[in-house]
Amino acid sequence: MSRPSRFRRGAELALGALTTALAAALIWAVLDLYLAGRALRETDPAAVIYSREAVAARLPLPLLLLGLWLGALVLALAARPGKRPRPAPAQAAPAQAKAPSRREALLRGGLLGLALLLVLLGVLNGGLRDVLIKAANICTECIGLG
Amino acid sequence: MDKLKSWWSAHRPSTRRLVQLYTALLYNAHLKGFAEGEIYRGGVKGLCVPGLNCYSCPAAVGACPLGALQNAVAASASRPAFYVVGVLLLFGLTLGRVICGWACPMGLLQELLHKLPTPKLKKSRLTRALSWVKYGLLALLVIAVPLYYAFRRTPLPAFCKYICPAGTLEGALGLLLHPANGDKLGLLGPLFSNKLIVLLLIALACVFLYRAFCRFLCPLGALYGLMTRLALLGVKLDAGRCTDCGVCRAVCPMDIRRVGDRECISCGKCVSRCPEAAIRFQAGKIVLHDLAPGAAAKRNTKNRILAGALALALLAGALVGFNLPAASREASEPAETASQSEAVGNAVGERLPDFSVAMMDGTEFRLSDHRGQPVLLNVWATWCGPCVKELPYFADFARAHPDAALLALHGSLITEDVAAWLAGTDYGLPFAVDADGSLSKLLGVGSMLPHTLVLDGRGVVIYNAPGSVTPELLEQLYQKAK
Repeated sequence: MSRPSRFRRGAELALGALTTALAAALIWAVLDLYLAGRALRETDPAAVIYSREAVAARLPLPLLLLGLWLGALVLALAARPGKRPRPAPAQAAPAQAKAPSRREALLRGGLLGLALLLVLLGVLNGGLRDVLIKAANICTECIGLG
Repeated sequence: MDKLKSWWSAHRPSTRRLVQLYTALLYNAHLKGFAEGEIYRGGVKGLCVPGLNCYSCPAAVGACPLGALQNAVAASASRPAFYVVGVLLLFGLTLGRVICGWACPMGLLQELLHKLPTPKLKKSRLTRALSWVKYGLLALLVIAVPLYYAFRRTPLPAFCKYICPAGTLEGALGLLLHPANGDKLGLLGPLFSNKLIVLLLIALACVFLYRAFCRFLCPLGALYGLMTRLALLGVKLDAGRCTDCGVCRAVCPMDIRRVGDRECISCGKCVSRCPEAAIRFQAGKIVLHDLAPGAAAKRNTKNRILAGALALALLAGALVGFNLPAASREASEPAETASQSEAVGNAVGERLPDFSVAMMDGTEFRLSDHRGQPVLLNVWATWCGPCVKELPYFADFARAHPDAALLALHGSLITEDVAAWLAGTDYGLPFAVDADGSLSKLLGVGSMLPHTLVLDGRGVVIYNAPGSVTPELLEQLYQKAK
């Protein structure tokens, strides 16, 4: 293995390890926050688990890892060999498009007709309005807010 | 200059990358939502976009088809899901998994994460086996669980709630990052922790594995995959020319068995690598990505310029249209003269203005009739899972504290007959419907449900927040309001 490629491999490994460590640190911070918050909520049901102070108190380690990660990213990008456009391999002459079989075309046409009919029925039975109502409002649990 | 040209020819984004960026921006054209910390609520939002894009993202201008499908299944006990099923069939039969490869913002994010220069895990028998997991999730979390709970009258979009990384990233974090939503931090609990951890794990997996979420977990991809053989658009294999040399399978980063199968996202990587030129981009009978030089190539260039110009015009129109400043709102109504020392309003510490509302049992609820009592106002909706889940808490609370006044107000966005829905229940709560939304506005209820307000005996607001409540929190608020 030549020297530049060894260096590149090392930088990539370091970046991979730091990416994992950063994710682990963030997951640990989330768990720690939650466990501390749950203990708080036992005494005060209105306690805020993800308060700004609690989040800030758990940031130093992930931030440190983020700094190291950025350093490793710069090294790994610098060690990458220059990108060259890859020539396309020799190919046989392209053929004309093949028409789909009659059976396939019929099935697709029938299903497309059914899809359009369903959309129309959905608009008439209020399904479109339902989608609009749900999309224009936020169900807090559905996006994980709680 | 030559150096610059050579750098550009090596680094210029592919057509597919440009289309991915374009669709991500088009789906999320309401950019001012990030500045305002609010979602877009216009009529266009009833239309589903083809790719996975959370409709609770502040910038989203269309509905997520997967979220819409789960909600439609959850409401199927009262209304058949014709619209969403029709739209998904339409997308699947015309575009198929081309959507995953070209028009999915989550796909783009996964590919960008995979570009980080780290060691990569190659596809294997294990990844091929794992690619079946998404079909299980489609059957279980998108169909079976919402359907089961639909018949128990509790809407539960299970994939959105427990897994969807788009919801956590675009919806939850997208909203929470805005300072105006700082008060929503109080909502965050175990569910948010779980979803944040799932998001982090998926993001980590995507760094080492190409499109880990798309390949193993995305039910929308699974759904389109079931229709991909019939799709009009996509990469098609000419079986007559194919010599089964295996080059296409080798260059494909997905878990395909053959070109154009359920795992193929039509990224087109194999088109130029096939030595027999047996693979083409086709839309029905039309070849879209022909490698033939000469006249055809020139015609393609013209077509590309025309298509590009039309697409840019559409994007520019969307960006301008969705980001125009809102028409000046009506001048805020003059605040009611406070006969007491508190300011009048719906914020904590303010005295809520008096109101009256017709109850579903024919009586009337007037706030001023309940001076001297703690008052709990719960804003809910039949289509909102957490709202329905917490109704029994309010019912238990009402039984335990007959001295408190309670009002369960159905929001103005009504998807079914509320009286008929309530007929099958025995909550025993005083229900009303805010048909025109004026009361919700007065109470300060925004786009998030459920929403609870608690007033003390003087009518002063001591709690006004969206999100689920627990019996313990209700008890604590009651003690505070007494």
